[in-house]
Amino acid sequence: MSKDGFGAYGPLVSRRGFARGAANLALGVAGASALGGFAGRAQAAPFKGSRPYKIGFVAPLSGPVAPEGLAMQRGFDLGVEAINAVGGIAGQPVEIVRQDDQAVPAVAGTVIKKFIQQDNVDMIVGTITSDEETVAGQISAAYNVPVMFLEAGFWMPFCTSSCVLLGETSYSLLSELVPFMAEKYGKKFVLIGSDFEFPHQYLGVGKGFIAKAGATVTDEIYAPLGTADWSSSIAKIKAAAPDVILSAVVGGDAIAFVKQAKSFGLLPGAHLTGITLQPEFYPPMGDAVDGLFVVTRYSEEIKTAGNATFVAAYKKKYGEGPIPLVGVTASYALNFAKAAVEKAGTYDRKAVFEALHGARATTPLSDAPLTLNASNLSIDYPMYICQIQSGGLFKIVKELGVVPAGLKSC
Amino acid sequence: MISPATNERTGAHAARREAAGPSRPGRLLVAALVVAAALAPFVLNEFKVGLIALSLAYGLFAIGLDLAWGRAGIISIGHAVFFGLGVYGVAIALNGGGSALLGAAAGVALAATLGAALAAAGLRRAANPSTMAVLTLAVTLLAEKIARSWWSVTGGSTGIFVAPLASTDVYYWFCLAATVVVAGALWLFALRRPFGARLVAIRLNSQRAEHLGVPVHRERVVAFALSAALSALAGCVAAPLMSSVSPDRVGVVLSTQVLVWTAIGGKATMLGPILGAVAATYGQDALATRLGDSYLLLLGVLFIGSVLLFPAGVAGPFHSGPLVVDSGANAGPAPRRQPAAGDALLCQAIVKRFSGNVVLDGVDLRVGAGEIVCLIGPNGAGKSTLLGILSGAVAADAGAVALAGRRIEAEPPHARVAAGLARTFQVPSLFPGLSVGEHLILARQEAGGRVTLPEAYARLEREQRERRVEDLSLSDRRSLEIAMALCSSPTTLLLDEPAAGLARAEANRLAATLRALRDELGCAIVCVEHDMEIVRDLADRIVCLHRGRIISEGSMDAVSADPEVRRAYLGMA
Repeated sequence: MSKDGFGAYGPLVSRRGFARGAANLALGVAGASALGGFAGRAQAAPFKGSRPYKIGFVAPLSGPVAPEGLAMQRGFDLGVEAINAVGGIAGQPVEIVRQDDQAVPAVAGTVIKKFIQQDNVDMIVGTITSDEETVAGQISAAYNVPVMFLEAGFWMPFCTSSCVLLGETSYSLLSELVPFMAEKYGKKFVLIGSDFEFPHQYLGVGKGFIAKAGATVTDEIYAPLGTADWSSSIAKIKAAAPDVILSAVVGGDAIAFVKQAKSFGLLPGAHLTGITLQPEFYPPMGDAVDGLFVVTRYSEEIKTAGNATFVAAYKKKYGEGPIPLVGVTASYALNFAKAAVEKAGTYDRKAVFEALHGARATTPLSDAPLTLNASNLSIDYPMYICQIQSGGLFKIVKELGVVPAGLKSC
Repeated sequence: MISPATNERTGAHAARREAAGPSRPGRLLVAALVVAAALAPFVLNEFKVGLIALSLAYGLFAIGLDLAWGRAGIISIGHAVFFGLGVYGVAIALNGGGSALLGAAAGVALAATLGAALAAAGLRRAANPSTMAVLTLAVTLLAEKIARSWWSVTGGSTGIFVAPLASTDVYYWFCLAATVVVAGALWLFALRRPFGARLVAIRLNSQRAEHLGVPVHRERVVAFALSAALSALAGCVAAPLMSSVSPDRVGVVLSTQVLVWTAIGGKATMLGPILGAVAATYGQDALATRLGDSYLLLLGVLFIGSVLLFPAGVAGPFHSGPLVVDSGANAGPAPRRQPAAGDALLCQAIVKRFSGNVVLDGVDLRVGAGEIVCLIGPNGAGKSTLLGILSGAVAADAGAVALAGRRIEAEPPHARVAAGLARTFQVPSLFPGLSVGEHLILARQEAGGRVTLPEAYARLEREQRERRVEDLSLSDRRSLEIAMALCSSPTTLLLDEPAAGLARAEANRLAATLRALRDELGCAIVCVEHDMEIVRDLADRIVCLHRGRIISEGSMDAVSADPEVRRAYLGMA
């Protein structure tokens, strides 16, 4: 696996051209589509299941990344309600078993085994950090149980016979962001991240784009997940006086980092960007992040019928406030499951996994259905450069079109 | 004379009958649990069988910790580092296509070596009691950092994937057998043996244990290394059940959890740590959906509750009988030690300073074979310090000490006991919670056999064998301490204020007993004493110390007539 470049990603020929073409294609399809609920249009379902379709949902509902885990659970619950409202999967309601993995890989492993060995689930959805995802992916592959990951940026360091990646990749998050930031603010970058697999990988990819943009990395800082005191890291950043801070500090740590950056005078003022800036973190981070830029695949501003329905349903159930990206992903994950099961015509896990290759489902992100790449089970998403507004809105300032996930084929 | 016992095995056998560890209900409970556990795969699903197998491995880990903490009294806040060496040893070997057995052997060997090194450094005489806690905490934090950072070997934060077992049921039975065999072997071949009795002695009163002849430092290092090896072995057993071997398996959270399992289950019991680990692991899964990581908070509350309200833990009530087991290995006669031919004890030019204050300033003392010398002097004269230097409890800054012609000033206390020196303390130094009989078992064990005690002390054993020391009178506690000292048939006996706190009649009886003792055994006695009546009755020679120097010596009449003594000690012109 490569942690300092594009090793995990395939060669991208005429990337921008490809992106523009894909975006046009998506818009064309959207124009021709009839709009349904965000749970997706019911396709013909020749297969009728004999029992409820059982899904194991695992998320870090406690521990250092609980804010994201809880956001994931909210979106997932909305998705379950929505899919059951349109007849469930294969004409049967979706049955959920759920458990907290506390963001501890060993616990995640136990939970996945429990889902498979005790609960006999048909599919697994969830979890956040790459460490838990890796464990979940490896175990589910050993038992041939499909598993859908929802969080941004992760790619398995190997091809498995079970994993589906619904989040965007580090490649798609950074390929446009880094040149944008370097051009806007300057070419001196400092990298900071939580000390586990994904941030290393994300920032490694970032370094590749930084070098490509003719920029330099002056410092690279990692702190263990669960770090409460960021003062020394912030002092190092201030000493480096970078033009851009690319951050992969995640979960509750991201909130602590930004709040302390404000206390120590680093924010507002510094040009912070990266996956640290998530909509669900805005309320505790507050005005420290107003005006900062990020690349994302979701904004409440996206003008689709599916998004309007989703936003209304989300705010009705959970109240006003920023809608977390991972919650959005969780809300439409079951649309892909439905598509695959009904296409496979069976609950058989291997057959469903095969049917996930090239499966298409509607999402709030675009009017046209999105497709799981048949070659690597990831999605090329339409992406946006957004600027964080006072109040937490991620305002779209530039549409990037469809940006390739960039993963190698399995 | 102290004579070797000809047939005193009856008492040892009686002690052995009582010292069966778990009580009869406890043994029945153990048997019932093992049978029930063996049947688990027939009634539980694969996940639950795997979970219990993992919890049994954790139980073995808790037994490993208990050997250090519960048995030897060594606090470790970082024991997961040893468990982790076992886990990673197997996982790395399997991941690299190597032999799991070789990986396990490497992990266990590394853990034992690291444990021995840590204990050797952290349990030195000069070390603070909390040193081991700090050291083990530092090592577990370092190990977690290394596991997170050494990507090429440990897989970093993601860890190493271990492929699922071909048969969870078969591996479960292996785990059950491993737990029973390892715990049983530990009990039969270590804890019921003299090693186990020594650990009890060290835990209850390491000072007394050392002066009874126990090599305290060595035994604690051995116990900690064995504890580390057992913990690593548990990790080896657990590895195939873990799916993912990640850095948290060597970290501080698991280190804390195993402390809690052990405390709740019951320290210094065989069943308790296993019960605690099984209940906590199974409970964590059962309550996971409701509690998440708040389960750790619940464990913390249970830990505090257990320490405050049920210090013996869940298994405590099922363990009864004496703590010290007479293994019978030393039931034969003790080797006889002949009284010294020349000087029993000789010290020259002893100097001791505390924070720059000179406490002993060139003291020379010669004690003949079978001679009784009483050390007198006002408070602060340096009498007890001198006794401490002679026995090895206090290191002199300068000077030489010889016992029966053999230089011993560089020897630790337990080696001086082996050379023929024994001592008592100003406040009787005994083992809290142990009976008179258990004290004498320990003393005879270190002596390497049994001697017939003079009647005054034999009667104490006969009449009060089962009484705990807390229930003895001060006089009997002093007698017990002397009886323990006599078990090693010393050539020189050091007594620190043996009459302090005794009634006049008791003090007079003590003086007579000590003289009879000397006449019977031929050992020299050096006695620090303030009671001048006792001194007059007891001493062959009196040595008066003042401000760290000997200012007078001779008979009672000569010393008490010495003007310098009268000025310094008696406060007279």
